[in-house]
Amino acid sequence: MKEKTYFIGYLTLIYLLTIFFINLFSPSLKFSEEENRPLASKPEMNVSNVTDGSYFTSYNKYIEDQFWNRTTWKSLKTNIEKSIGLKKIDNIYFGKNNRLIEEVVIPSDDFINRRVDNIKKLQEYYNELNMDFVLIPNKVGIYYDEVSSSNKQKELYDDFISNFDNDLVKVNCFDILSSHKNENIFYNTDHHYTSLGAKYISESLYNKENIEYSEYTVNNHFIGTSAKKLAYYNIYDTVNIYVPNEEVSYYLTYNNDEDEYTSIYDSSKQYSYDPYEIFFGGNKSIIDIRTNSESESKLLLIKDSYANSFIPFILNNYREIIVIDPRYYHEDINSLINDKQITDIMLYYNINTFFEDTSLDDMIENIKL
Amino acid sequence: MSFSSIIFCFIFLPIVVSLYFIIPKKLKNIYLLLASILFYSYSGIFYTIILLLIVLYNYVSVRIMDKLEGKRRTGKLIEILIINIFTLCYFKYYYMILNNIFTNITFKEIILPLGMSFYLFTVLSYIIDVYRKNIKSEHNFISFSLYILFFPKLVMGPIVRYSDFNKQIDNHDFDNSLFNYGFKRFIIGLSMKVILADTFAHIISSYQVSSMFGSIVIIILYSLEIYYDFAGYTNMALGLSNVFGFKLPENFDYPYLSKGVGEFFRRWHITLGKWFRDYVYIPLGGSRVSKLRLVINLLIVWLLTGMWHGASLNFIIWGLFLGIIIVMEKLLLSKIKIPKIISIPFTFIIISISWIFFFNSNASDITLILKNLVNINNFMDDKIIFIIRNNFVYLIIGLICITPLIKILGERFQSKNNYIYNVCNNIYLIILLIISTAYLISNSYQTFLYFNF
Repeated sequence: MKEKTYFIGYLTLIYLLTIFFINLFSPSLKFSEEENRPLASKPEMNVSNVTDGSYFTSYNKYIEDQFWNRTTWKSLKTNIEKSIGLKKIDNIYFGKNNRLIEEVVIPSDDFINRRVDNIKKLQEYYNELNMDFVLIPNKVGIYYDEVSSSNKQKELYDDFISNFDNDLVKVNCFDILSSHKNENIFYNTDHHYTSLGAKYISESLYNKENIEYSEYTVNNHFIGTSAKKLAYYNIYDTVNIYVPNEEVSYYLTYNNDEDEYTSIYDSSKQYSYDPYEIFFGGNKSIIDIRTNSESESKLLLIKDSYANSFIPFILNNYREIIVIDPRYYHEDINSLINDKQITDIMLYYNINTFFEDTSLDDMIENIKL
Repeated sequence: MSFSSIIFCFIFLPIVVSLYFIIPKKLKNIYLLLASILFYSYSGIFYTIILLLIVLYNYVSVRIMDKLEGKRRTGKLIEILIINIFTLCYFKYYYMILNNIFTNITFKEIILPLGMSFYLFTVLSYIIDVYRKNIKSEHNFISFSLYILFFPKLVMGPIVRYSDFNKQIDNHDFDNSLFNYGFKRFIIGLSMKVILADTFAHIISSYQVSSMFGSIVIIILYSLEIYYDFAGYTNMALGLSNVFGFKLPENFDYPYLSKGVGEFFRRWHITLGKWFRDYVYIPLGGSRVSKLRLVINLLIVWLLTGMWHGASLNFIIWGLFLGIIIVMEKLLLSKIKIPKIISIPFTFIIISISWIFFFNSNASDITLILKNLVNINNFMDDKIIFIIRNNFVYLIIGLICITPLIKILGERFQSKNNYIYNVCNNIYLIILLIISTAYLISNSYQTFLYFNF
């Protein structure tokens, strides 16, 4: 052997053994908050799973999931890849000014056709009600120039919208958000827009510009979903909320429970792992908000999580707002609309989720007139 | 259990190696045999039993054959060969043949036991070598079993001849520099696999070919991925053998620097090429036959080589494609001297094209890539440009490391200052090990963010 590397073998063995013992003696975790999923637990051995080898597959999964400091290892890989010039890791781009940008979701033709049919159906069923359709672009639609030569999300949106009459879509959120693109309208580390972004949308949608708000910072160490996905902890965001100076009073119930709350903010989530859950304590299947607004309108808001930070701005526009998230709400909405004497329906989604999640279709297809 | 799995690297390997030093010398071979069985049983007890039965059957019947002479010896040989080849064919082809003939009936899938193509070829070489009296049959069952089951080479080679292995069975004392060298190779192999091969595989799966340039890049990526995957694995296998004091034959010798396809396969998966040469090509008459016979012999060898790699039609096409190129090389180009600067890239291109058939079993995927390869009207697409820019450093490292450049530079450095070279080399390897760990662990890192949306 010409090369004499005298100690690398011993170093390697010590390295492997050390990690082995650390893994052996560190307690098993049940849930990974970084990955937002339960971790595999130690499998039970029996004759059939040993014979077909599935025991060992589960055991390997268990070892992987319980590996010592796995988030730190992932973080190391992300930092290495970023330093060797990768602009995109795991479907997330590194944009300018520390912006993490999630890749645009491109739906299949079948998906689009089904969705167009269903929205038309919804329009037809409730043609006597006011209907609004608000699709919020994601970072990839506003800062597209930082990731590609063309705005694919805008193209997708324009194609989709062209299927409907002009009065369904009242505001073009691309224009609204683009005109504020130098402000903090999106979190850098999270896929959501900020309350400021939601504020601009609400101002255009309801033509209200003279309302004054007080701004409060609820958390200034927010590490959002995009950063968690990459285990990229070098940057963080600030979560702000806006409270109108002329406050409207209201109370709300969650999931048809009897408990009534007087605030849409859940302060227990302020320093939690996901401070975005400060709004309504996270996604709920149904929220019923009754206000003392002078308005007679009653809104059914069919939405994803982008609406959570939007609702605070529209409280005084309605007497009652019923908020449903079709991913968790599986009842028939027709009876809801009739029982509550709904006057307005609004679909409020971010474009990526809108083109990815099919629960909205299921909900509309299950309407029993 | 794959060498590049967490369970192997951080449980099996450190324990097996550590205990190996404590075990008394007399028991070391039995210990390695038990470790190998444990290693294999990870793929399921059922397959382990099949493997052990094959070992037992061949041990006994080859012992019997070795005592016979003349026609009875040949008769016994044929019987043993048929049983082994039948076993291989049953697991490898039977299900696919049934499925293709009776398309309307669903059969219970037969899964090829892990590494069977490798370990049965090892067994076959032993049987034939004993028959030819090149070697004596092994009477020690432990030694014979270890020859077949030795875990570093059990599932993906190299395919070792008994004559290379048996001298080492009773003579693999601890050798400090071999031990360190072994771990060095293991680290290099692991990094080839988890840093390069897995990254290239990820790029390949994320891109749908849609331009000429895109399809050129994708076939180059095929070349890089399969090389770093297989050569990386082989480095780990050879390194692990060294750790236990064994030296197994090399399987790769910078194949992408070959000046022809024939040469490529003398430098790529060397032990398989030698196997086919010694047990198929030469018995058929080798190259000392008429031109027509030569062509037939080569095509038979390459048809079998294709079939060895997989049961589906694309592997047969792959084998025959290479067979035809090699026939043309032998007949047309053997007398002409082509400068390296042309022959090396040309060979690389041919090999890269051949991998299209290796990677894709679906006819429509194959035609898509082939069509785009000649689609001069649609030269570029945005996506492939982004992929190249995004992965530029990986691609450069990938292309540099298929040549011995770094090795040559290292040797020059070493000849100037051996001491500093050794220190740097150790530091470099430890960093590489840590980085490889990060890549290995990250593969299992999957965020489920749906419920946050």
